[in-house]
Amino acid sequence: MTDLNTSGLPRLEVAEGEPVDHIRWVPADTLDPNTWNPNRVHGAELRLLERSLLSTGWLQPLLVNPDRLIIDGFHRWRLSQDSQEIRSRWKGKVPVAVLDVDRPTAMLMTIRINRAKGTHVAVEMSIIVRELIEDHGVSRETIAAEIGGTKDEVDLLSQDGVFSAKNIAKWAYSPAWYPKAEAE
Amino acid sequence: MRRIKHVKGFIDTDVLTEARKRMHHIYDVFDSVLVAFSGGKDSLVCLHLAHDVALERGDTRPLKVVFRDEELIPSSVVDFVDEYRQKDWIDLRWYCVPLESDKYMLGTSTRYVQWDSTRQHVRPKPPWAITSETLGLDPLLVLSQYSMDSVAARGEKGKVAIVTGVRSSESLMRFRAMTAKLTENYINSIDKRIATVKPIFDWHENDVFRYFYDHDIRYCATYDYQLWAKEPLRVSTPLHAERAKRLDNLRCYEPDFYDQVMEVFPEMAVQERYYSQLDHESVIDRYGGSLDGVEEWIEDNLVDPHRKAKAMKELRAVRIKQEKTPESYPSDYVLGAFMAGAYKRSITALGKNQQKARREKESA
Repeated sequence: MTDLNTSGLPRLEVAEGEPVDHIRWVPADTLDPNTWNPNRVHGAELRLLERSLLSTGWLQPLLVNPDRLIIDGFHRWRLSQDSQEIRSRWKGKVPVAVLDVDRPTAMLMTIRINRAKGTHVAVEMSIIVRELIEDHGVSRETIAAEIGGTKDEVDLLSQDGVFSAKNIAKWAYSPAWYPKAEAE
Repeated sequence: MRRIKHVKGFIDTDVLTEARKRMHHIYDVFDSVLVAFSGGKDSLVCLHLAHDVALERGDTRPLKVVFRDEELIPSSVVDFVDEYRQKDWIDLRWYCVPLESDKYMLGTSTRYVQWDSTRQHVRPKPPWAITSETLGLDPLLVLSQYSMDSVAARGEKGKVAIVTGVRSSESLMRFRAMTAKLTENYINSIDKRIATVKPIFDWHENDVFRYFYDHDIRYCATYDYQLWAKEPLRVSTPLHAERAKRLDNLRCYEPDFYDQVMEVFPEMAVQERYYSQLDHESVIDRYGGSLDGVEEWIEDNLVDPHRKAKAMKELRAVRIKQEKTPESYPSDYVLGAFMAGAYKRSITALGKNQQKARREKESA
């Protein structure tokens, strides 16, 4: 097996044990972004990801194969190129864990990992938002910024049900009607 | 010649007062009154209104309530209906019978049968359910909404009213249906003996919640979940066109139910993943140029012969209407309506404002 990948860069060494046992820092521009990634992270989510990286640092590595092909972490890799703050803070490097899989396996893993990320359930979201506001005094603006939402969304999640959201106590019954004929 | 249209003629009273008056009238002219309850907010208002008015009239017998279990309903709704089943002032008949329905996937509605005996069910039938077997029907017989009403009215004496929570503000189609008749517009005969009645036809959604608020009535919890998930407040099966278009959101407000549905209808994952990318415009471009194009779309997309026959019949009716008032039935609009499955009822004409907007868009 050649020691260079298709871009002429050295293949990454696969260590014994689990991929996370041997996390290493590599220059982001030596990695190969997978062009097939079907997971679209939209602008607002990308900004949230940037905020998260800058506020907490790297919590988990990118997953790549020995050919430097990115299996998981494409958007963090993209930010490490596009965000000046991230690029300068980590000197253009990203943490990687290397998994010894070929390209088709990597493709399937990309889909599997992205699909397995789940969904935030509205009920639990509402419970969390109300606890943050009522018990911990966190402002609605802060919550909106931290979760990458809008204040309207936080306002909605903080309601305890339809009555308060619709301000039903102030609603007066509508006038009744019956159909009538009218010339156009 | 000036055309006559039917519009709202407001009267000097509020919707609650008038709905109570309508319920009294219903009790006056019908021998038996059944409330069609879905667990949803509108039928819940009807159930309480019917009960209150019956008590006012000195009728303390348990209120007859029909629950047509659509199989694909979340446990929040099942549990809510079950609470009502257990109330001593209610005589609730819980039907789990095969019923015609449809599922929407990537631009096409196809038929499926609720409680189909030939496939796995989304949830088990409750032990107290009335089934085809207990009714003495062929288990393979599939009922429609209309035949279901007749089954529900079996054994009831004289003229039977089935109270439903239809509101005209829910859609233009419902508004047109509720304003078609000028007298007793809220009473529609199904046959000589049975009629559906709609005492809250002029209510708005907020009137419904105001009624619960005033009467300290708890509504089904699914509405709070839908509120937080920015979903329209409705109890309906998730496979119908309007719900299926937002199937991904079901994960957010009824996550366990989402799993139950996907277990039995895994093909709906395709709808969830790709509906937002469905290229409506290219379909409209290809088939929407004329009603012949719409016919071609029907040929290409509706596999079920029953559906296809229904669609062709509606298309014939639309051809006549389009000839009379072309602006009311532009072909691309008709195609959109067929794609959404609206051919099962009558496809409504494009409103005046929509026609005007199209003219302005075209001239721009």
